[in-house]
Amino acid sequence: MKDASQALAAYARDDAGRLVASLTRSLGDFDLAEESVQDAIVEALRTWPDGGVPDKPGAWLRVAARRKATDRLRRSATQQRHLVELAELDVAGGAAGIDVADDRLVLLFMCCHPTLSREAQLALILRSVLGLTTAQVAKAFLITEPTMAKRIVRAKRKVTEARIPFEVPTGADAQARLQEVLTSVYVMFNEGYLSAGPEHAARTDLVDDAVWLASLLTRLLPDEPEVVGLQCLFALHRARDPARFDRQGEIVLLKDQDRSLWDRAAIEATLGALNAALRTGQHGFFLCQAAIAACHATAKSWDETDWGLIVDLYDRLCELADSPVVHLNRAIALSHRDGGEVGLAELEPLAQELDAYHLFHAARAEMLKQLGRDREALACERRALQLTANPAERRLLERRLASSGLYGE
Amino acid sequence: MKYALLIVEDEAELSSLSDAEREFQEIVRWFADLRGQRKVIASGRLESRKAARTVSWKERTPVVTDGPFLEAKETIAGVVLLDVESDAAALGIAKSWPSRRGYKIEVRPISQATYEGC
Repeated sequence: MKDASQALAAYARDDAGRLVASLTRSLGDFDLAEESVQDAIVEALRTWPDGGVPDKPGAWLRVAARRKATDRLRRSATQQRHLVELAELDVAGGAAGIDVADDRLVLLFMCCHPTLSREAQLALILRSVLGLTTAQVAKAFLITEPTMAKRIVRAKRKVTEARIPFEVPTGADAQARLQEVLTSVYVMFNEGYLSAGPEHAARTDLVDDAVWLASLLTRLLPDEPEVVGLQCLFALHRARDPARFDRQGEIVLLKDQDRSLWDRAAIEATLGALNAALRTGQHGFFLCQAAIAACHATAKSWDETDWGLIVDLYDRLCELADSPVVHLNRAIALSHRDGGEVGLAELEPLAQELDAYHLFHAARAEMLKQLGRDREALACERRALQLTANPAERRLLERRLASSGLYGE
Repeated sequence: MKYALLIVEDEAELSSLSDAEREFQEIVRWFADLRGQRKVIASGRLESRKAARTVSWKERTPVVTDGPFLEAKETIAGVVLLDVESDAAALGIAKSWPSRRGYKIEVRPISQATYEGC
């Protein structure tokens, strides 16, 4: 039973996106293509566990998806024309196992069209590029299946209404559109890496999906420094994975991590790719983020961290993305380089905008403690705790409150 | 004075990895320092040579061919445009580039007339 669904997950990942893309291209109808592939996956989920995994699962999915498309088209008389196209596609490609061109990049650009909200983008990517079922997508986002189903329907309606063309954008907005795709994958990674939901400290499936997408993008756009940057960023985070949680499943902060547990070989290998990208001078948002992660990954200890270099990289990031969270992280790096006083001054202008962000208050607490202002620090930690939904993060803050000796006052 | 540093990459020699950590720190520092001193006007990668097209002329008719003008194993990977006080400063910056097997830098002044006219 488990084997069948694992096999399906693997084939869905390899083939679903290709299939949705090639059907979208030949039928000119993303919604129809996407629904048909989804139907095929749902059917596989139903029949594979008992009947066994077919000999050629990829071909099975292709045939099933095409049959589902035919069924859907028969039901709507107005779409007879597409039926002919579909039949021609069958003839051209044979009944099974055709080589479909890799249109997944196009599909990714379509799913990440700026008219769609980030949530909608992520839902569409997971369903149509990675072949997750609506139920699986709903679970990943910790919402109910009907809510997710509605979100997907709305998103697809938008794609249709906005007449988003099925092509890789070129021209002036090409870079902005790529950044949109990368940002979606980045949000997916973060969502999974440290989820804000109440049940799971880490949702590794989402992390795996995001990493898979990043490597797909690297294969499709190998020379693009931002794509390399995103992949390096993920790789460097994952290299530190073994040290992120202790045996009880509690978060271990970077400062306290056992660096001997980090995957040195992975870090070395990543630096090679990162260096080549950095040498081109094309220093975008994700390449700079990766460089910051590399500063941490290469520091022998917390105390030997090159905060000067990190502050410089944040300066560059602030030029690229003037977001309060980037400024917050820059202030934290500054507080390590120049002391808590300087860090606190940098936080001041962010206080209003980030008041609901728990890490703002946690950072503030850290700086106040650095200056021996323990009572004010305690108030900030309490505020951070109030704002945190993630159980592992909550326990971390509770432990800190308890160890302050002022707990309960 | 404005200069272009052309970062020339020789793919044939870009194989052996040596001390990636030190290289990383040096390269980030190099760019950060120049940016901090406001000497970089712009910097960026050039798309791969595969994306290059060459326009040439037969008599007076332009002919576009795919691929780079020069066949070479070397390729210009990136460009850094500098604004510095002197020729010596531009050369000095190029010399301070964290050296690495497989890379060369071509330093070219940008003609005064070129940018004052824009």
